[in-house]
Amino acid sequence: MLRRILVVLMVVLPLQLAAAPAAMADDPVTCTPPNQFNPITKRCTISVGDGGENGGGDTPPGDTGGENSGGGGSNGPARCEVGNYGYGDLGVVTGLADPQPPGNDPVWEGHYPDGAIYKCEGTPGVGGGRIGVPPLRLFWAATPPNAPPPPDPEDLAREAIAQMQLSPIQIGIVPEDAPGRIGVVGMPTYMWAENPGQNTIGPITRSASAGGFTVTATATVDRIVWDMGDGSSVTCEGPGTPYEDRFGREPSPTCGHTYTSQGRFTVTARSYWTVAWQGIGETGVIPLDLADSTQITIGEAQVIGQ
Amino acid sequence: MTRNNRLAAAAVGAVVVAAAIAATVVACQATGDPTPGASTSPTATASASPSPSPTTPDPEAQAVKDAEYAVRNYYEVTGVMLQDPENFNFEDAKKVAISSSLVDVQNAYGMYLNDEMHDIGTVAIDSIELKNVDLTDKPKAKPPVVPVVEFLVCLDSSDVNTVDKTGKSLNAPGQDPRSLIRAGVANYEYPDGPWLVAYTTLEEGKKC
Repeated sequence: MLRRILVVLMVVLPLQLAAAPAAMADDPVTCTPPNQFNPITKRCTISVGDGGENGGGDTPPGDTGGENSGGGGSNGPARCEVGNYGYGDLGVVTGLADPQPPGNDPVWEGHYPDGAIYKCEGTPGVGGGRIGVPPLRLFWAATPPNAPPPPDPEDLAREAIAQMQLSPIQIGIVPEDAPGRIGVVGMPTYMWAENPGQNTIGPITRSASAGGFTVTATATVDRIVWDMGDGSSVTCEGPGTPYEDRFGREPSPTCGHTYTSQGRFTVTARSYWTVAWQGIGETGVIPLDLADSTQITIGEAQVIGQ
Repeated sequence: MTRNNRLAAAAVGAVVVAAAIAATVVACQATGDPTPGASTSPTATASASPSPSPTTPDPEAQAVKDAEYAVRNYYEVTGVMLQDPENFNFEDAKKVAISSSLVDVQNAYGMYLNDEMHDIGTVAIDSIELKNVDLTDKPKAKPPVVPVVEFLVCLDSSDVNTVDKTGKSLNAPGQDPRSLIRAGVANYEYPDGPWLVAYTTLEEGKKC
């Protein structure tokens, strides 16, 4: 965490040191880092530590108490500081605050009606296995902060997805595709995801960055649709239940099928993913599907008995 | 006095009282003074007055009433959020807060979700004192000027225990549980729009 912040700083500080806003200028309560400021009660709470990939309670970098322009230099995106909420200290200017705060709001720092109030958005933390809410801060600036167009967040989301190395499930099925293994017409077939992992079932979260901007994406399998090869398909919400001898002739409690005719069938398991991403002031969802196949043999009981 | 006479006397009395209320409302509207007790003779205006509805509220008084309700609602809704952020619908926050305050709520929401914290108990509003009312409404000005009611709110966090997911208390020791907050409540669609808490800031160094 700290190393990543230092890396980011090396990129960002030249752009913003001269214009770094004081963290929480409109609420002068200073919570000793890494303690966190509660903006509702205006009190400090003890930091719980690193809350995830982007968590932590590091001192806001570049907090030099300078002018609250929030603007950047002419060579890069307009950067700003979000404040000490224990996560996502660095952010980007995402435009004018809408609506503009009333003139009595301390965020104007006495400048009202000159200039305008802008929005600084940080990178959401990841807690409890999901993407959090991006931290925000409003700040006054006399002129619009220099903000060249950021990268397309969906492009970064796809980079994050690439890092996930998502795979189709490893098919678990009884009867399995092995010499001498033949299922019986009218008997239950069990289907499941063998060795389910983050990259086959989810949830899995990764981030991708470019030019100081970060997008975080979380992928989860919503359902697995099994094409049974006999013209029918079965939709299963979860990974299914591996067959055990104790189940006997009971149908699968979660994901199963019963063949009504004999033959050699190609079974395809297609997992449908939802990838929710967030960053650079936007959110989105990217649907994906990944499939793998196997073959099974089903026979009539009297034929197998011969 | 006969029964009919008593009824007639009561009816005359009711007219006089109604006329007095109407006259007071007219006087208050004319001067902008929300304080009742104008000296206009009720009998002199009883028949000549156009008789405005006695229920028509003074705009400032109504704004203060609605804005105070908004402040109480803000702390009630955010209290629900901080107690159970996992199940909080953030759209509810937009019904009580706007602008800087909505940012505050979002940051608190994100912080609690990210660190898997929640509150046990909610802050109590110990007192609300009106500080200022300004109903100037110039929505097309840049930046827009909107009606704002300001209060000084005394919050008491004595009964709030902020805990992590294991139940360990995160309350910073030695903090005064009471804090004096200046709260600005704005109406961006006056007079028909909702009053929403637009900013809250700590009155540093002041106790309540």
